[in-house]
Amino acid sequence: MFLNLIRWFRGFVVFEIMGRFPERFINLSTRQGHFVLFSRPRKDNFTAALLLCDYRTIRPIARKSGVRLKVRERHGLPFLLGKYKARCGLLIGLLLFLIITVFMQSFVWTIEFSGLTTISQSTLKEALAEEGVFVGAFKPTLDLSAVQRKIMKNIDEVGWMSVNIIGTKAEVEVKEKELKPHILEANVPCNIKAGMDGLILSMNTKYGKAVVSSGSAVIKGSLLVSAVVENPSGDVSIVHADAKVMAQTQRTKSFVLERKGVFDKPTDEASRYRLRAFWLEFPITATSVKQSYTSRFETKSVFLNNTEMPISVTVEHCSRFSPNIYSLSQSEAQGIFAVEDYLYRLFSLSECESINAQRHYAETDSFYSMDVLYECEEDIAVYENLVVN
Amino acid sequence: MNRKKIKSEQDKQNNSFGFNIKDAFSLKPRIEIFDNTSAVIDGSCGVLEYSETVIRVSLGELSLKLCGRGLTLKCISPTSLIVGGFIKSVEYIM
Repeated sequence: MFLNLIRWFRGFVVFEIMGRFPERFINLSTRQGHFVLFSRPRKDNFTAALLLCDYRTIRPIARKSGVRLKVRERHGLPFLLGKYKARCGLLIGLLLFLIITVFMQSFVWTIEFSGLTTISQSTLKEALAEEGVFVGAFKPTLDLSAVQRKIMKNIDEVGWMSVNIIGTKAEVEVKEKELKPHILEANVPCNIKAGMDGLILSMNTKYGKAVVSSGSAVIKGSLLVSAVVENPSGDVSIVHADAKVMAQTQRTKSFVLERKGVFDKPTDEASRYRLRAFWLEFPITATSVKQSYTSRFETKSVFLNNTEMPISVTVEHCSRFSPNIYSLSQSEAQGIFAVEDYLYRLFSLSECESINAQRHYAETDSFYSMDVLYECEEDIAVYENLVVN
Repeated sequence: MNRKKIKSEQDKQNNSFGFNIKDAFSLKPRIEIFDNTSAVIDGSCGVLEYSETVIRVSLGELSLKLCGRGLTLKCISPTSLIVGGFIKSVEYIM
Protein backbone atom coordinates (compact mmCIF):
# COMPACT_ATOMS: atom_id res chain seq x y z
CA MET A 1 0.00 0.00 0.00
CA PHE A 2 2.66 2.48 1.11
CA LEU A 3 4.99 1.40 -1.71
CA ASN A 4 2.19 1.80 -4.23
CA LEU A 5 1.57 5.32 -2.92
CA ILE A 6 5.24 6.21 -3.32
CA ARG A 7 5.21 4.76 -6.83
CA TRP A 8 2.12 6.79 -7.67
CA PHE A 9 3.72 10.00 -6.42
CA ARG A 10 6.91 9.34 -8.37
CA GLY A 11 5.03 8.09 -11.44
CA PHE A 12 5.63 4.84 -13.29
CA VAL A 13 5.45 3.58 -16.86
CA VAL A 14 4.16 0.20 -18.01
CA PHE A 15 5.98 -0.73 -21.17
CA GLU A 16 6.39 -3.60 -23.62
CA ILE A 17 9.78 -5.20 -24.22
CA MET A 18 10.17 -6.56 -27.72
CA GLY A 19 13.35 -8.21 -28.97
CA ARG A 20 15.60 -11.16 -28.74
CA PHE A 21 17.04 -10.80 -25.25
CA PRO A 22 14.53 -9.39 -22.83
CA GLU A 23 16.20 -11.33 -20.00
CA ARG A 24 19.41 -9.47 -20.65
CA PHE A 25 17.56 -6.21 -20.50
CA ILE A 26 16.12 -7.16 -17.11
CA ASN A 27 19.53 -8.22 -15.80
CA LEU A 28 21.30 -5.09 -17.03
CA SER A 29 18.68 -2.70 -15.77
CA THR A 30 18.60 -4.44 -12.37
CA ARG A 31 22.38 -4.25 -12.06
CA GLN A 32 22.29 -0.54 -12.81
CA GLY A 33 19.80 -0.03 -10.01
CA HIS A 34 16.65 0.32 -12.15
CA PHE A 35 14.32 -2.20 -10.59
CA VAL A 36 11.85 -3.63 -13.03
CA LEU A 37 8.39 -3.94 -11.52
CA PHE A 38 5.46 -6.17 -12.44
CA SER A 39 7.30 -7.93 -15.23
CA ARG A 40 5.12 -10.44 -17.02
CA PRO A 41 6.06 -12.68 -19.91
CA ARG A 42 3.66 -12.91 -22.87
CA LYS A 43 3.73 -15.11 -25.92
CA ASP A 44 5.93 -12.83 -28.04
CA ASN A 45 7.07 -10.17 -25.65
CA PHE A 46 7.22 -8.94 -22.06
CA THR A 47 5.45 -6.26 -20.16
CA ALA A 48 7.14 -4.56 -17.27
CA ALA A 49 6.98 -1.34 -15.31
CA LEU A 50 9.61 1.12 -14.24
CA LEU A 51 9.59 4.29 -12.23
CA LEU A 52 9.44 7.34 -14.47
CA CYS A 53 12.91 8.56 -13.43
CA ASP A 54 14.37 5.11 -14.25
CA TYR A 55 12.58 4.82 -17.56
CA ARG A 56 14.14 8.06 -18.81
CA THR A 57 17.67 6.63 -18.37
CA ILE A 58 17.02 3.12 -19.59
CA ARG A 59 17.31 3.68 -23.38
CA PRO A 60 21.04 2.83 -23.61
CA ILE A 61 20.42 -0.47 -21.82
CA ALA A 62 17.62 -1.33 -24.24
CA ARG A 63 19.89 -0.55 -27.17
CA LYS A 64 22.68 -2.64 -25.67
CA SER A 65 20.42 -5.65 -25.06
CA GLY A 66 18.81 -5.36 -28.49
CA VAL A 67 15.26 -4.80 -27.39
CA ARG A 68 12.68 -2.19 -28.28
CA LEU A 69 10.53 -0.56 -25.64
CA LYS A 70 7.02 0.63 -26.22
CA VAL A 71 5.08 2.53 -23.57
CA ARG A 72 1.66 1.06 -22.93
CA GLU A 73 0.38 2.86 -19.83
CA ARG A 74 1.40 5.85 -17.76
CA HIS A 75 0.43 6.19 -14.12
CA GLY A 76 1.10 8.57 -11.25
CA LEU A 77 1.16 12.20 -10.20
CA PRO A 78 3.69 13.55 -12.74
CA PHE A 79 1.45 12.42 -15.60
CA LEU A 80 -1.62 13.83 -13.89
CA LEU A 81 0.11 17.18 -13.47
CA GLY A 82 1.36 17.00 -17.04
CA LYS A 83 -2.19 16.45 -18.20
CA TYR A 84 -3.28 19.70 -16.59
CA LYS A 85 -0.12 21.62 -17.48
CA ALA A 86 -2.00 23.69 -20.00
CA ARG A 87 -4.60 24.50 -17.36
CA CYS A 88 -2.33 26.00 -14.75
CA GLY A 89 -5.21 28.19 -13.61
CA LEU A 90 -6.72 25.17 -11.90
CA LEU A 91 -3.59 24.66 -9.84
CA ILE A 92 -3.34 28.35 -9.04
CA GLY A 93 -7.01 28.32 -8.06
CA LEU A 94 -6.46 25.35 -5.79
CA LEU A 95 -3.47 26.99 -4.14
CA LEU A 96 -5.36 30.26 -3.74
CA PHE A 97 -8.29 28.40 -2.25
CA LEU A 98 -6.02 26.71 0.31
CA ILE A 99 -4.26 29.98 1.16
CA ILE A 100 -7.50 31.91 1.48
CA THR A 101 -9.07 29.15 3.59
CA VAL A 102 -6.14 29.17 5.98
CA PHE A 103 -5.92 32.97 6.00
CA MET A 104 -9.63 33.50 6.59
CA GLN A 105 -9.49 31.32 9.67
CA SER A 106 -7.57 34.14 11.34
CA PHE A 107 -10.65 36.36 11.49
CA VAL A 108 -13.77 36.48 13.60
CA TRP A 109 -16.67 35.50 11.38
CA THR A 110 -19.59 35.62 13.74
CA ILE A 111 -20.37 36.75 17.27
CA GLU A 112 -22.88 34.79 19.34
CA PHE A 113 -24.36 36.05 22.58
CA SER A 114 -25.85 34.07 25.40
CA GLY A 115 -27.21 34.97 28.82
CA LEU A 116 -28.64 38.36 27.82
CA THR A 117 -31.94 39.26 29.47
CA THR A 118 -32.00 42.99 30.17
CA ILE A 119 -28.91 44.19 28.34
CA SER A 120 -29.57 44.68 24.66
CA GLN A 121 -27.45 42.76 22.19
CA SER A 122 -26.68 45.89 20.20
CA THR A 123 -25.30 47.64 23.31
CA LEU A 124 -22.95 44.79 23.99
CA LYS A 125 -22.04 44.53 20.31
CA GLU A 126 -21.08 48.21 20.25
CA ALA A 127 -19.05 47.82 23.44
CA LEU A 128 -17.24 44.81 21.98
CA ALA A 129 -16.58 46.67 18.74
CA GLU A 130 -15.01 49.52 20.70
CA GLU A 131 -12.65 47.02 22.29
CA GLY A 132 -11.81 45.48 18.91
CA VAL A 133 -14.06 42.42 18.87
CA PHE A 134 -16.20 42.68 15.76
CA VAL A 135 -17.00 40.65 12.66
CA GLY A 136 -13.81 40.69 10.65
CA ALA A 137 -11.45 41.31 13.60
CA PHE A 138 -8.00 39.75 13.28
CA LYS A 139 -7.89 37.03 15.95
CA PRO A 140 -4.19 37.09 16.89
CA THR A 141 -4.38 40.78 17.89
CA LEU A 142 -7.26 40.30 20.34
CA ASP A 143 -6.60 40.46 24.05
CA LEU A 144 -9.75 38.79 25.28
CA SER A 145 -9.09 39.08 29.01
CA ALA A 146 -8.59 42.86 28.64
CA VAL A 147 -11.80 43.09 26.61
CA GLN A 148 -13.71 41.22 29.32
CA ARG A 149 -12.30 43.43 32.08
CA LYS A 150 -13.06 46.67 30.26
CA ILE A 151 -16.64 45.71 29.37
CA MET A 152 -17.36 44.52 32.90
CA LYS A 153 -16.04 47.86 34.13
CA ASN A 154 -17.91 50.01 31.61
CA ILE A 155 -21.32 48.31 31.62
CA ASP A 156 -22.70 48.18 35.15
CA GLU A 157 -25.34 45.57 34.34
CA VAL A 158 -22.71 43.01 33.36
CA GLY A 159 -21.83 40.95 36.39
CA TRP A 160 -19.53 38.51 34.63
CA MET A 161 -18.67 37.87 31.05
CA SER A 162 -16.39 35.71 29.00
CA VAL A 163 -15.40 35.96 25.37
CA ASN A 164 -14.25 32.68 23.86
CA ILE A 165 -13.09 32.35 20.31
CA ILE A 166 -13.87 28.90 18.96
CA GLY A 167 -12.69 28.57 15.41
CA THR A 168 -13.96 31.66 13.69
CA LYS A 169 -16.86 32.21 16.10
CA ALA A 170 -16.67 34.53 19.09
CA GLU A 171 -18.94 33.24 21.83
CA VAL A 172 -19.87 35.90 24.34
CA GLU A 173 -21.33 34.57 27.54
CA VAL A 174 -22.80 37.11 29.91
CA LYS A 175 -24.11 36.82 33.43
CA GLU A 176 -26.03 39.89 34.36
CA LYS A 177 -25.90 41.47 37.79
CA GLU A 178 -28.71 40.62 40.16
CA LEU A 179 -30.70 43.75 40.98
CA LYS A 180 -30.50 44.86 44.56
CA PRO A 181 -33.81 43.96 46.27
CA HIS A 182 -35.88 46.75 47.78
CA ILE A 183 -35.00 46.79 51.44
CA LEU A 184 -37.45 48.40 53.74
CA GLU A 185 -35.79 51.07 55.80
CA ALA A 186 -37.27 49.90 59.02
CA ASN A 187 -35.36 52.46 61.12
CA VAL A 188 -36.90 55.46 59.40
CA PRO A 189 -40.37 56.21 60.83
CA CYS A 190 -43.00 56.98 58.24
CA ASN A 191 -46.74 57.30 57.81
CA ILE A 192 -48.82 55.91 55.00
CA LYS A 193 -51.00 58.36 53.13
CA ALA A 194 -53.44 58.00 50.26
CA GLY A 195 -51.84 58.43 46.88
CA MET A 196 -55.15 59.30 45.26
CA ASP A 197 -58.86 59.60 45.95
CA GLY A 198 -60.71 56.34 46.40
CA LEU A 199 -62.86 53.98 48.39
CA ILE A 200 -60.95 51.62 50.66
CA LEU A 201 -61.68 48.01 49.82
CA SER A 202 -59.24 46.20 52.08
CA MET A 203 -56.36 46.99 54.41
CA ASN A 204 -53.49 44.73 55.33
CA THR A 205 -51.50 46.55 58.00
CA LYS A 206 -48.17 45.05 59.02
CA TYR A 207 -46.71 47.88 61.08
CA GLY A 208 -48.36 51.03 62.37
CA LYS A 209 -51.87 51.92 63.42
CA ALA A 210 -54.66 51.90 60.80
CA VAL A 211 -56.55 55.18 60.90
CA VAL A 212 -59.21 54.27 58.32
CA SER A 213 -61.07 51.06 57.76
CA SER A 214 -62.57 49.20 54.82
CA GLY A 215 -65.45 51.08 53.24
CA SER A 216 -64.01 54.49 54.08
CA ALA A 217 -63.72 57.09 51.35
CA VAL A 218 -60.39 58.91 51.32
CA ILE A 219 -58.97 61.79 49.38
CA LYS A 220 -55.44 62.19 48.14
CA GLY A 221 -53.09 62.93 51.06
CA SER A 222 -55.34 61.47 53.77
CA LEU A 223 -53.55 59.60 56.55
CA LEU A 224 -54.21 55.90 56.22
CA VAL A 225 -51.77 54.27 58.62
CA SER A 226 -50.09 56.20 61.43
CA ALA A 227 -46.52 55.58 62.52
CA VAL A 228 -47.36 56.47 66.13
CA VAL A 229 -48.35 53.31 67.96
CA GLU A 230 -49.56 53.19 71.54
CA ASN A 231 -48.65 50.03 73.45
CA PRO A 232 -51.11 48.36 75.84
CA SER A 233 -48.94 49.63 78.68
CA GLY A 234 -49.55 53.19 77.54
CA ASP A 235 -46.10 53.82 76.01
CA VAL A 236 -45.94 55.49 72.63
CA SER A 237 -43.49 54.36 69.96
CA ILE A 238 -42.84 55.54 66.43
CA VAL A 239 -42.51 52.81 63.81
CA HIS A 240 -42.02 52.46 60.10
CA ALA A 241 -45.60 51.91 58.95
CA ASP A 242 -46.13 49.24 56.33
CA ALA A 243 -49.48 48.28 54.81
CA LYS A 244 -51.18 47.32 51.60
CA VAL A 245 -54.23 49.47 51.09
CA MET A 246 -56.44 48.36 48.22
CA ALA A 247 -58.92 50.95 47.07
CA GLN A 248 -61.34 51.52 44.26
CA THR A 249 -60.19 54.55 42.32
CA GLN A 250 -61.41 56.41 39.28
CA ARG A 251 -59.37 57.92 36.50
CA THR A 252 -60.51 59.74 33.43
CA LYS A 253 -58.70 60.00 30.17
CA SER A 254 -59.64 61.86 27.03
CA PHE A 255 -58.47 60.91 23.57
CA VAL A 256 -58.88 63.40 20.76
CA LEU A 257 -58.39 63.00 17.01
CA GLU A 258 -58.71 65.58 14.27
CA ARG A 259 -61.20 64.77 11.54
CA LYS A 260 -58.95 66.19 8.87
CA GLY A 261 -55.25 66.73 9.07
CA VAL A 262 -51.95 66.57 7.37
CA PHE A 263 -49.46 63.78 7.69
CA ASP A 264 -46.23 62.91 5.94
CA LYS A 265 -46.74 60.09 3.48
CA PRO A 266 -43.79 58.26 1.97
CA THR A 267 -43.65 58.81 -1.78
CA ASP A 268 -41.11 58.15 -4.47
CA GLU A 269 -39.63 55.07 -2.78
CA ALA A 270 -36.38 53.50 -3.93
CA SER A 271 -34.21 50.64 -2.65
CA ARG A 272 -30.46 50.37 -2.60
CA TYR A 273 -28.58 47.14 -1.90
CA ARG A 274 -25.20 46.87 -0.28
CA LEU A 275 -23.16 43.71 0.22
CA ARG A 276 -21.10 43.39 3.34
CA ALA A 277 -18.39 40.74 3.67
CA PHE A 278 -16.39 40.94 6.88
CA TRP A 279 -15.42 44.60 7.18
CA LEU A 280 -15.82 45.34 3.48
CA GLU A 281 -19.02 46.96 2.31
CA PHE A 282 -19.80 47.91 -1.24
CA PRO A 283 -22.94 48.76 -3.20
CA ILE A 284 -24.55 46.23 -5.51
CA THR A 285 -27.03 48.54 -7.18
CA ALA A 286 -26.31 51.96 -8.59
CA THR A 287 -29.50 53.72 -7.52
CA SER A 288 -28.94 57.38 -6.83
CA VAL A 289 -30.90 58.96 -4.00
CA LYS A 290 -31.15 62.63 -3.08
CA GLN A 291 -30.11 63.82 0.34
CA SER A 292 -33.63 64.89 1.25
CA TYR A 293 -34.74 61.27 1.30
CA THR A 294 -35.22 59.38 4.54
CA SER A 295 -33.63 55.97 4.76
CA ARG A 296 -34.62 52.80 6.55
CA PHE A 297 -32.09 49.98 6.70
CA GLU A 298 -32.83 46.27 6.67
CA THR A 299 -30.01 43.75 7.03
CA LYS A 300 -30.29 40.13 5.96
CA SER A 301 -27.44 37.83 6.99
CA VAL A 302 -26.47 34.61 5.28
CA PHE A 303 -26.91 31.50 7.43
CA LEU A 304 -25.22 28.18 6.84
CA ASN A 305 -26.17 25.28 9.10
CA ASN A 306 -27.84 27.73 11.50
CA THR A 307 -24.56 29.62 11.75
CA GLU A 308 -24.45 33.25 10.80
CA MET A 309 -21.91 33.93 8.10
CA PRO A 310 -20.00 37.21 7.91
CA ILE A 311 -21.81 38.00 4.68
CA SER A 312 -24.92 40.13 4.71
CA VAL A 313 -27.00 42.18 2.34
CA THR A 314 -28.24 45.53 3.57
CA VAL A 315 -31.31 46.94 1.89
CA GLU A 316 -31.71 50.68 2.20
CA HIS A 317 -35.32 51.69 1.68
CA CYS A 318 -35.20 55.35 0.71
CA SER A 319 -38.35 57.39 0.58
CA ARG A 320 -39.30 60.99 0.36
CA PHE A 321 -42.06 62.16 2.71
CA SER A 322 -44.55 64.63 1.36
CA PRO A 323 -47.47 66.17 3.25
CA ASN A 324 -50.75 64.45 2.57
CA ILE A 325 -54.24 65.47 3.72
CA TYR A 326 -56.27 62.78 5.40
CA SER A 327 -59.89 62.56 6.45
CA LEU A 328 -60.89 60.14 9.18
CA SER A 329 -64.22 58.31 9.22
CA GLN A 330 -65.96 57.46 12.48
CA SER A 331 -65.07 53.76 12.32
CA GLU A 332 -61.43 54.60 11.60
CA ALA A 333 -61.36 56.98 14.55
CA GLN A 334 -62.86 54.32 16.83
CA GLY A 335 -60.21 51.87 15.71
CA ILE A 336 -57.44 54.34 16.57
CA PHE A 337 -59.11 55.09 19.93
CA ALA A 338 -59.20 51.37 20.72
CA VAL A 339 -55.48 51.09 20.10
CA GLU A 340 -54.70 54.17 22.18
CA ASP A 341 -56.93 52.89 24.98
CA TYR A 342 -55.12 49.56 24.96
CA LEU A 343 -51.72 51.26 25.10
CA TYR A 344 -52.82 53.52 27.97
CA ARG A 345 -53.99 50.50 30.00
CA LEU A 346 -50.81 48.64 29.19
CA PHE A 347 -48.36 51.35 30.20
CA SER A 348 -50.17 53.73 32.58
CA LEU A 349 -52.50 51.35 34.43
CA SER A 350 -50.14 48.40 34.64
CA GLU A 351 -50.23 48.32 38.46
CA CYS A 352 -54.02 48.19 38.71
CA GLU A 353 -55.42 44.76 39.51
CA SER A 354 -58.78 45.08 37.74
CA ILE A 355 -60.04 47.72 35.41
CA ASN A 356 -63.56 48.55 34.39
CA ALA A 357 -63.85 51.12 31.63
CA GLN A 358 -66.80 53.26 30.52
CA ARG A 359 -66.30 54.88 27.13
CA HIS A 360 -68.12 57.89 25.79
CA TYR A 361 -67.63 58.92 22.17
CA ALA A 362 -68.34 62.40 20.89
CA GLU A 363 -67.70 64.23 17.65
CA THR A 364 -67.68 67.82 16.48
CA ASP A 365 -67.09 69.35 13.06
CA SER A 366 -63.36 69.15 13.46
CA PHE A 367 -62.69 66.51 16.14
CA TYR A 368 -63.53 63.01 17.30
CA SER A 369 -63.12 62.47 21.00
CA MET A 370 -63.38 59.58 23.42
CA ASP A 371 -63.67 60.06 27.19
CA VAL A 372 -62.96 56.98 29.21
CA LEU A 373 -63.69 56.49 32.89
CA TYR A 374 -61.51 53.78 34.33
CA GLU A 375 -62.58 52.18 37.63
CA CYS A 376 -59.55 50.47 39.05
CA GLU A 377 -58.55 48.48 42.10
CA GLU A 378 -55.10 49.44 43.20
CA ASP A 379 -52.79 49.95 46.13
CA ILE A 380 -52.97 53.64 47.03
CA ALA A 381 -50.49 53.53 49.92
CA VAL A 382 -47.80 56.19 49.70
CA TYR A 383 -44.98 56.28 52.26
CA GLU A 384 -44.19 59.62 53.77
CA ASN A 385 -41.34 60.02 56.18
CA LEU A 386 -42.27 61.36 59.58
CA VAL A 387 -40.36 64.48 60.47
CA VAL A 388 -40.12 65.08 64.20
CA ASN A 389 -39.13 68.65 65.09
CA MET B 1 33.13 -39.34 23.83
CA ASN B 2 33.69 -38.54 20.19
CA ARG B 3 29.90 -38.26 19.61
CA LYS B 4 29.54 -35.80 22.48
CA LYS B 5 32.29 -33.63 20.99
CA ILE B 6 30.61 -33.60 17.59
CA LYS B 7 27.24 -32.65 19.15
CA SER B 8 28.72 -29.79 21.18
CA GLU B 9 30.33 -28.42 18.04
CA GLN B 10 26.99 -28.60 16.24
CA ASP B 11 25.28 -26.81 19.13
CA LYS B 12 27.86 -24.06 18.95
CA GLN B 13 27.17 -23.59 15.27
CA ASN B 14 23.36 -23.61 15.62
CA ASN B 15 21.57 -20.72 17.26
CA SER B 16 18.25 -20.83 19.08
CA PHE B 17 16.28 -20.74 15.78
CA GLY B 18 17.83 -24.02 14.75
CA PHE B 19 19.75 -22.97 11.66
CA ASN B 20 23.41 -22.79 11.02
CA ILE B 21 24.83 -19.28 11.46
CA LYS B 22 27.71 -20.13 9.20
CA ASP B 23 25.29 -20.91 6.37
CA ALA B 24 23.38 -17.71 6.90
CA PHE B 25 26.46 -15.59 6.24
CA SER B 26 27.92 -17.73 3.46
CA LEU B 27 28.06 -16.43 -0.11
CA LYS B 28 26.46 -19.57 -1.45
CA PRO B 29 23.09 -19.23 -3.19
CA ARG B 30 20.11 -19.73 -0.94
CA ILE B 31 16.75 -20.91 -2.21
CA GLU B 32 13.52 -20.92 -0.24
CA ILE B 33 10.39 -22.40 -1.72
CA PHE B 34 7.03 -21.60 -0.10
CA ASP B 35 4.48 -24.24 -0.92
CA ASN B 36 4.45 -24.39 -4.70
CA THR B 37 3.42 -20.79 -5.24
CA SER B 38 6.59 -18.77 -4.71
CA ALA B 39 10.33 -19.16 -4.43
CA VAL B 40 12.90 -16.76 -3.05
CA ILE B 41 16.31 -17.08 -4.64
CA ASP B 42 19.13 -15.26 -2.92
CA GLY B 43 22.56 -15.05 -4.51
CA SER B 44 21.44 -15.13 -8.11
CA CYS B 45 23.69 -13.82 -10.89
CA GLY B 46 20.93 -13.02 -13.37
CA VAL B 47 17.96 -14.35 -15.26
CA LEU B 48 18.88 -16.60 -18.14
CA GLU B 49 15.43 -17.50 -19.39
CA TYR B 50 12.09 -16.01 -18.58
CA SER B 51 8.76 -17.22 -19.84
CA GLU B 52 5.39 -18.18 -18.44
CA THR B 53 6.40 -21.80 -18.12
CA VAL B 54 10.14 -21.68 -17.43
CA ILE B 55 12.38 -19.41 -15.41
CA ARG B 56 16.09 -20.17 -15.49
CA VAL B 57 18.30 -18.35 -13.04
CA SER B 58 22.09 -18.29 -12.98
CA LEU B 59 23.56 -19.12 -9.56
CA GLY B 60 27.17 -18.82 -10.53
CA GLU B 61 28.57 -22.33 -10.98
CA LEU B 62 25.16 -23.86 -11.54
CA SER B 63 21.82 -22.68 -12.75
CA LEU B 64 18.35 -23.25 -11.38
CA LYS B 65 15.41 -24.07 -13.62
CA LEU B 66 11.91 -23.61 -12.32
CA CYS B 67 9.13 -25.06 -14.43
CA GLY B 68 5.44 -24.42 -13.96
CA ARG B 69 2.67 -22.24 -15.27
CA GLY B 70 1.98 -18.52 -14.92
CA LEU B 71 5.46 -17.90 -13.60
CA THR B 72 6.41 -14.31 -12.97
CA LEU B 73 9.28 -12.41 -11.43
CA LYS B 74 7.53 -10.69 -8.54
CA CYS B 75 10.56 -8.79 -7.45
CA ILE B 76 14.10 -8.57 -8.71
CA SER B 77 17.33 -7.09 -7.40
CA PRO B 78 20.96 -7.61 -8.53
CA THR B 79 21.45 -10.56 -6.15
CA SER B 80 18.01 -11.90 -5.42
CA LEU B 81 14.62 -12.44 -6.94
CA ILE B 82 11.20 -13.75 -6.04
CA VAL B 83 9.40 -16.04 -8.41
CA GLY B 84 5.64 -16.31 -8.22
CA GLY B 85 3.23 -18.66 -9.96
CA PHE B 86 2.45 -22.39 -9.92
CA ILE B 87 5.77 -24.18 -9.58
CA LYS B 88 5.77 -27.73 -10.87
CA SER B 89 9.43 -28.65 -10.74
CA VAL B 90 12.83 -27.41 -9.62
CA GLU B 91 15.89 -28.51 -11.52
CA TYR B 92 19.59 -27.82 -10.97
CA ILE B 93 21.70 -27.68 -14.09
CA MET B 94 25.45 -28.06 -13.66
